[in-house]
Amino acid sequence: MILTSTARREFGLINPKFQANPILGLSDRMTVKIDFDETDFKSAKYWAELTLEKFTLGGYVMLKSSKKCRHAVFDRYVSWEENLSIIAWVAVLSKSVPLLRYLAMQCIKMSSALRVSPKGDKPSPRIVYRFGCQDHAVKDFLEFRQLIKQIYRSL
Amino acid sequence: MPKTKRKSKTISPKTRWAIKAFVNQGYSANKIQKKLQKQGLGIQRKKLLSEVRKIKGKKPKANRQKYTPKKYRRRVTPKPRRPFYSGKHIAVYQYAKTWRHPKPYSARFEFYGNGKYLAKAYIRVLRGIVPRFEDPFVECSARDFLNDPYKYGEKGVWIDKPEISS
Repeated sequence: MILTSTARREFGLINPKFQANPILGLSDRMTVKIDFDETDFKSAKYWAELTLEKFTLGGYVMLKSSKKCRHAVFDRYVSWEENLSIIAWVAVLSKSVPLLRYLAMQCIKMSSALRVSPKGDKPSPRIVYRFGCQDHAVKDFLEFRQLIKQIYRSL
Repeated sequence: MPKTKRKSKTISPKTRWAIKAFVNQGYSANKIQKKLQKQGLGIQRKKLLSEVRKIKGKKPKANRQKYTPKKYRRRVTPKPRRPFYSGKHIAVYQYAKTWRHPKPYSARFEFYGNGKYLAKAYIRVLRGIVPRFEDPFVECSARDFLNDPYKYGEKGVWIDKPEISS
């Protein structure tokens, strides 16, 4: 279990040498990662499944990052251009402003990133739903996420 | 208690020559070991067996894991290593400020490398290295960052999201 920053501060687990903990995330260009902000589980699942069918992405894993935020990570590796096209398709069709903002940020940074560590009072994202094949990008994503969690825990 | 002579880690040329001679004569490994011990040239059995195999030109035993008891299998199995560059980066981001630029700005490091270097780079970042205001998005190898952190950033502090009041 990873404690939130507030809890870590309360228990005296944050090293006083460090002023504030920057957020740790996972970033790459070949995995399709969608950040559904201000979306409930039902809608996030609907859009994830629609994307899965349309682009034949194999499978996906859904993570809950906070009360109304979900992350979806898809299993098929794609090129950066296709990755952007998929996120843009979902953003435009779902008319989701936070997702359009997320897409814009990914374009600026030239890679798509998702949070792994806790952020303020929000805990680290946890898996809530899996569907379809999980052997390729999802597997690598979860392995790398575990590595980042280990780094965070070791402090 | 009588002092036992400590066996050396490497095989001496004399011992090697003796083993070769005994193998050519067709002696078994047990017999060779006894003969070597008599001459004061005793070596570890494991090393003797591998030397005998080398002289006979035999390949190392296949399926080593299969013949190892389950509880020791982890020692024998080679640990799969993560490739140095897997395409995945670790993103370290938050707002930052420096003495040169006291107004908070969004800053981000993206490191790639293996776990050891990534962990060390993150700890180095926590100790007060932030990307420069002029170049707030930095992407580099964790090992390069550790070699010269001030090439990629400068001294500063990471701060929580500033509250914007209008």
